Order: sequence, then C-alpha cells, then structure tokens
Amino acid sequence: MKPIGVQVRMYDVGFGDCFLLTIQYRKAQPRHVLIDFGTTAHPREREFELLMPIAEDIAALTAGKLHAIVATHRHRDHIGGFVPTPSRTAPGAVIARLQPDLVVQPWTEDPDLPEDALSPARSSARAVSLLRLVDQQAEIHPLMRQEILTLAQRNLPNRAAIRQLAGLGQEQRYVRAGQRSGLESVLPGVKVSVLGPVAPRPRRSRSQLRFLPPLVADQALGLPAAARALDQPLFPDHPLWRGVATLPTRWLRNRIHDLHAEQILALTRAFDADINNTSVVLLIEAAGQRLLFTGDAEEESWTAMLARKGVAEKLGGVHLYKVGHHGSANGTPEQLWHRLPREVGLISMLSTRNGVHGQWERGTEVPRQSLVEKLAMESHLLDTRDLRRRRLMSVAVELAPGHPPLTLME
Amino acid sequence: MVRERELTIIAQDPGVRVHGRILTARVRIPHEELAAGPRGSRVHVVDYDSSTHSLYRPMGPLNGESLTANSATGDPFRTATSAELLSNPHFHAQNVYAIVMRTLQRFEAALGRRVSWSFGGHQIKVAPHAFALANALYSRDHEALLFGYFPAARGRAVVHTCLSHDIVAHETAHALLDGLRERYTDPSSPDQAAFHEGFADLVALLSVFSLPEAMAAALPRRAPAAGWNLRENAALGLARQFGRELSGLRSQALRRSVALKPSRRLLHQPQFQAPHRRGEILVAAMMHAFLAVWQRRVDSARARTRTQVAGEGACVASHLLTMAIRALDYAPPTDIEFGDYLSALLTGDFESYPRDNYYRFRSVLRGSFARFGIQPTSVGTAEEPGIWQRAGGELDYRRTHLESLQRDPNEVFNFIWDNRGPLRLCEEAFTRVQSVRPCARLGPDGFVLRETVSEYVQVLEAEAGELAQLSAAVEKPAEMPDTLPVKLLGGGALVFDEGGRLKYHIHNSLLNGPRQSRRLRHLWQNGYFDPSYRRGHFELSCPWRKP
Repeated sequence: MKPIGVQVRMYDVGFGDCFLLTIQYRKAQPRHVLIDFGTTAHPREREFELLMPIAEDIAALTAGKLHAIVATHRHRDHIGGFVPTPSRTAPGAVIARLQPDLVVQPWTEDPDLPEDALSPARSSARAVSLLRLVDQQAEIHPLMRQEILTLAQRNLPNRAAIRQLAGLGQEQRYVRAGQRSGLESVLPGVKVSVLGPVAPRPRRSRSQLRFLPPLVADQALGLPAAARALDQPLFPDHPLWRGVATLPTRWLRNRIHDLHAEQILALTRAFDADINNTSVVLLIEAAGQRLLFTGDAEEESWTAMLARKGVAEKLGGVHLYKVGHHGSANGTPEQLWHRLPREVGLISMLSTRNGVHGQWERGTEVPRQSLVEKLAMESHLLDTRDLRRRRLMSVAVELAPGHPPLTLME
Repeated sequence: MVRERELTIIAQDPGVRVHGRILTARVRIPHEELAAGPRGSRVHVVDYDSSTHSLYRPMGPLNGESLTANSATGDPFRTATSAELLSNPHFHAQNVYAIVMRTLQRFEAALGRRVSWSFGGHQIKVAPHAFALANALYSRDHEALLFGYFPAARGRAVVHTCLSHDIVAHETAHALLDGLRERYTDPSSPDQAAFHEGFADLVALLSVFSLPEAMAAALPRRAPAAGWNLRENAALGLARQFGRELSGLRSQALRRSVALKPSRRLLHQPQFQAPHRRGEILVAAMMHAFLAVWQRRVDSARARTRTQVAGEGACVASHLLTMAIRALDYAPPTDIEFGDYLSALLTGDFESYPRDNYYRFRSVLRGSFARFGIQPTSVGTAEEPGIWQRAGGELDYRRTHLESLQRDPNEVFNFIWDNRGPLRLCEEAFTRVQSVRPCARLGPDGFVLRETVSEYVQVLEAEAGELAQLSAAVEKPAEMPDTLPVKLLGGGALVFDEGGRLKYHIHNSLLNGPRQSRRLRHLWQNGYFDPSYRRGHFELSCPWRKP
C-alpha cells in the first residue's frame, strides 16, 4: 500500500491544537491520525460548545475509525478535549468511540517511568501552588496576575485527560527522539521520524535539555514556606513594626511586591516550558511530502533536537510546518526557521488566538507579531484566526506529488 | 573618636559548624551613627517580607529609645547561641548590614576613594527576608538587594539566603560593579555577560577566604604527614563547605571551578557560552592562581599548623581580592573581554608593586589564565608581559587645568575633545564623560599615590546598512535587515598621574571594526535584537531561568 496523498486539517479550537492527518491510498480506505485535541482560556461549558462540533466532524470524516492519536504533551490546550465526562456525549467520549489502534505520547507520560527519573512530572502539581501564591499577593499588577493565572491554569493537573489517554487504543507508545513511533504499522507506506522530545541523559542533562530538578523547583517555590505563610509570619514571636516611623520603608515595600510577582511569573514560565519541551515532534513522510508537527517544543528543545545527527538535513525538505507553540517567539526559533525551505512554497499552519498569553508591550505576546509577519511573507500561512473571522470550523490542505497544494476551508 | 565597629557575622553559611556551633567571625567595618534598620549612610536594611506582608520591628533606636552598648553601637550577638542566630531577625539584619558594608569597604580601600551605587542614591536598600522564594538578587531599578528564604531540603528548617556570606557578598559585588561600570550590563559579547557573574563570584569567594576562621574550618585538624598539599587538603574542603544548604541552587562557582580541568578549549565549548557557566572559567583561573600562591607561601614560610596555613590563605585571598577590585580602574568601560580583565589585573598590580617580587602574583596569574585559554589583550613590555601600554602620542594639555581635571567631567571632556585625534575617538559618535574620580593609594615607595581616574563612553546609532560606510568598516550579519537600528558602543578609562598627565588610556575603540563586527554577530545570533529581549536582574542562581 503506497500513499498517494496526504491531507492535514486544522480545526479552530481557540487557543489550543487539533489536527487531523489523513493518508490517502489508491486502493484502500484512508487512514486517520488525530494530533492533539484541546483548548484553553474558556469556561468548561464553552469548551464543550467549541469542541463538540469538532469531535462530531472528526467522527464523520473518519467514518467512525481513528487509526492513531498523538497527544504531544500534557497541557490542557493539547489534551483537554479527550476528557470523556460529564457524559457519554462529551467530545472526549465521541473521540473514544473512534477506537484508535495506537496512542503516542512523550516518554515522560509513561506510567512505568521510575520515580527518580529526571522528568517534569510534578510541574502540574506546582501550578496549583503557584495559583495559591498568586492568590496571596493582592499587590500583583492585574496584567501580570492574568498572565500568571493563564499560564498556571494551562498546567493544572489534567488527570481525567491523562487517565483517558492511558486507557485509549490497543497499543500505547511513549516515545523519545530516535525511537520508533509505532505509527508506521497503522499507516502503511508512511515513514515517521520522532525528532523530539530529546530525553536528558542523566549525566549530561544540563548541556542537553534541562528540566528543573524536582528539589530545586520545590525549593525555588518555597512550597512549605508559602503554605505556612498563609497563616503566620516567618518570625511569629517577633513584633511587627507599624506607624509613621515606617515611612522610610514604604517605597521599597511596594517595589518588593513587584519583584516578587516577576519572580513568580518567571517560575511559572519555567514550569510551563518544562512541559512544552516534552512535546512529541514528528517528521512524517508520505507520498513524497514531508510534514513537521512540533507540538509546543520551545527553543531549547530545538537546540537539543538540531544537535542530533541528520535532523537539520531532514528539515530542508519539509513541505508543511505546524507552527510551534501557537506562534510564540520561542516556538519557532531562528535556528529552526532558517533550516526550513521557505523559498519553495512552504505551508505553515498556525493554531492560535490573540490576547491569551503574553503582553505586546513586553514583546511576549502570543502569537508574536513579528513572527506572524515573517511566516506570512516567507511561507503560505494558514491561521485559525482567519477561520474565526469567517466563522469557519477548519481548514484543510491536500498535498500530492505533481499537484499544487489544495486548500479547503469549511 | 570611634572609627571602627566590630560585628559578628556568619563566616560562611549556617551549614558550616565547628563543634556543633555555627561558625561565626567578627569583622571590622567603619563606624557610623546608625538609625533603626540598621540604617546607615550607605546601607538601609528594611526587613519586609512580601510573602507574609510582615514588616519586622528593626534593631536600633526606635521612638526615642537611646542607643545602648548592647544595641546598634555594640555587637549584640557576640555571644549568641546558634539557635538565636538562626531565629532572630535582628541578627539577620546585622549580618547583611555588616557584609554589605565590609564589601563596600573593601572596594573603597582597594580603589582609594568613595564608591557610588549605580542608581544615584546614597543608601542601598537591603531586604533580608524579601520573599519565600529560593533566590537573591540585586536590582538597579529597585535600588535594592533582596534575599529570599525557602524550606531546607530535609526537615522543617528554613534556609535564609541572607545568612550565606558568599551570597550577600556576591549580590553586593554586582551592585558595586554596576556603579563602577554601568555599561557592563549592556548586551555585548559572551565574555561581558559572564564577567558580571564571574567577578561577583570572585569577590564572594575571596571575601570568605579572607576570613581565617572560614579557611581553618576547611582544613584538616592535623597537619598531613606528607606536608600540606593545598589542592588536596584545602580546595575540596572549601568547595564542600560552599553550597551545603543550597545544593543545586547557586552557581556553585567554587565547586565547579576547582573541578574544572584547565583547557584552552573551554571558552569555545557550547556549554560555556551561558553567562553563569562562562563566568566559572574566570573564577577557575583565579582560584588556580590562588592555590598556587598559597602553596608557595605555605612552603616558604614553613607553615605547619592549621592556624598558620589558614592565616597564610587569608592573606593571599585578601591580596587577590584587592587586585581583583583595583583592576576595575584599569578595565575598559564597555565591551570587556576576559583578556582585557587580565591586562587590567596585571597593570593594577604593576602600579602598586613594580617588581613582581611579592610571591610573583602576576607571573602566576599569567600562567593560570593561559591554561584556561585567556591571553592578556595587551602585549605589554619585555619585562612585564600583558600590562597595558602607557599612553603615548602628542597630547595637547594647553587648555587643560589640573585642578579642574581632577573633579570636573567638563574639563575631562575638554581634554578629550582637544585630543580626539590622538585618542582615536569616533567623531560621528555621541561622547559622554561618565565620571571623574580622584583617588589616593599607597604607592610602592610608601608615599600616597594620587591619581585621577575618568571614564568616557561613545555611542553611535545608525541603520545596519550604513555601517559599511564607517571608517571602522563594521560588517553586519548577512541576514540583518539594512534598516534595522543598531547601536555601537566604545569608550575608555583615562588614568591621569599626579601632574595631570595621561598615564593610561585603556579603551575599546568604537572604530575597532573586527571587534564591533564580532559583537553584532553575537547579538544577532542570540536574539538580542528581538524586542522581547529584556535585561534582567542579577540573580543568585537563576534556577528557573534557562540558559
């Protein structure tokens, strides 16, 4: 069975990812892979309204059968849709009924991972602590508070989704760079290279890909101290100081709160990046086409991936690029972008939403405006924000040898 | 009149104990009339905890209370137990006050003049319990040093970063260096970013080593039968002592630098491009020199006992600390690279000790830096390789007034303007004299040596496409858009002798094409032209800031 074409469909899920990859064959039924299914920054009811029609569309397009699911990493905007509750009519339940043969996830989600493995497994739990910390700090500027909350909420434990994914599929694969994904067995004639995540090697982790060591992370956050701080001062027996004599201290007191908030934001970003860098990154080759699915891999993950033998060369032949990390500046680092063949009709697919992450004034907005301009100038950019403006649900690109790419908006 | 005050501090950190007691030291700092805080003329301790919204009642005179011998004038913690040192926030305030003041005093003594903070104010604010986070930082914008606290790895204890001597000295060194060389925080080369970290580590380590108590604690109690081999007997002991409580959280400069095997290739390896790691190379070069001179002194003085050996080590550390600080006056004010700093070290020491007969510090430093691939920027002379060349050329002093030259930036600018040709200044650039500082140091002949140190900076803003037309022939990276605004920096340190004649002109010229091209390429490749790039604070360890 040789593929004759591929179709990649990108759904508008707001701030999140949902891609349906379809491999077409001449004499056989097409095969389907769902890559991520989640959204964020919505109330639960709104998520349901948004994802349900998409789940039903996927069910219709796949004629009731998914061959594989790839859950790139555990963030809610990538896997939150798999939750099968509150009822059998939930979007997650619809997807579950498509009975995928294979579920691919990063190695960090392997339930058999040793407890002392250098993985960011506890980052989600830390998000809860961060939310508590932010709660305590009434002085945090509202914009910064919003940024911290949005980031932390994305990292909240997704237990229901994680449990659901662990039970889906006849086969579970937890992959890392260089391993076989298992997708070849359900997608005949397709070659899949797992580029990421690059697993840190115990002795060389810091020079390769760094996660916050668990102890450091907990100490950095001062968890027990923070928990106790809810109730009492650090030196409960020592008198506090009040009154007009404290006036010379006021200038600094206000500013310490600003700096404290900056520190908390930096920590939240670090936890978030830890999880992003566990993203499964796949280079899929079918019908003479190369497709690059990047999840939310950030710059340091790309540094580690590109340091691996042969990876940089493979990227030279990519036809379709799933824009990394919703268009953030660090999701498409220069070192990656310059390796993609922009001059020969590269297609970029960007799933994003304005105003969820970062601040324009600080140059941290997602999607990063300067990157979007570059994508639009140097590639054929498909953007879910255009779908929203036209009240459309998805856009699909069909690629086949000898034919120009065909774009379908629905 | 009382000129000095002795205060108890924790010699290293609370994890270093002798007979179960926290190792303390008594340090001498300048006496001053303190207000509640303590709040002196240069340091104001504000014990506010933003995590619990608690402002602790400070030590010192409050609401009309008078100073007593047992409060701010004396040393209330001279006989305190370890438990009291840990649990009394007044001691924490005293500890940070004394270490910041001691570090400031070391800078002022080495440079022979008052040293200013970078932010223009006179009193740096210090918060010993700023927040429940495992970090400590200096922030120029906040005019402050902030120290966090966090739970210990084991047990229910709390670790206070304000009780670690090296952490307090490290952050203070950042603040002082920022006051002396404000352009060292500009985006430049990998060396410049690393220099701030490496220098702060150096000051922190040498500050601790200059306390004989801390040195003795790291040495074996009995003299080794085979004699003292300090690399084996002391270096590892010292390294172990550092970071005992803060495992994984600080840069671990000493532990890593002692273990760092000298190699000329280190500077080019990818893992040593990040500022904290690259700074370790500078620290390693200095620490290897420190051990070599210490060993030489121990051998030649036939030091036997632990106390003698520790005393020799403290002397060497103290001398190296003075050298390290004094070198700043001989370092270019912009775009410093490690080779520049080595030339500055050698020149500063040469000015104080023209003959390198004091345990041959300069010879040892040259060798140690060379083993780590760092060569002095200046060729030097046949007798003194590596020192900066004396200012030469035909300089015009006709419109320069000596008295005014020693304190007035306008007078120095007049001199620079009149001599912009021989000084090789870029005429298209904006030029500003940053400071003029008269200083007095003890010369080699025992007489007071009066010099005037001044720095100027040149800034040129242009579009990338215009750079090729400059006489400096600066090359922009090929992918850089022609219309991108870029800023070129140059500048020099001018050292005038007692007669107002220019002795040294130590500069990184804005017209140095290869250097400017290298800097632009580095900045472009590392995303510094992206608007999202922001200059941060100087943090203890940046455990959550990825390299």
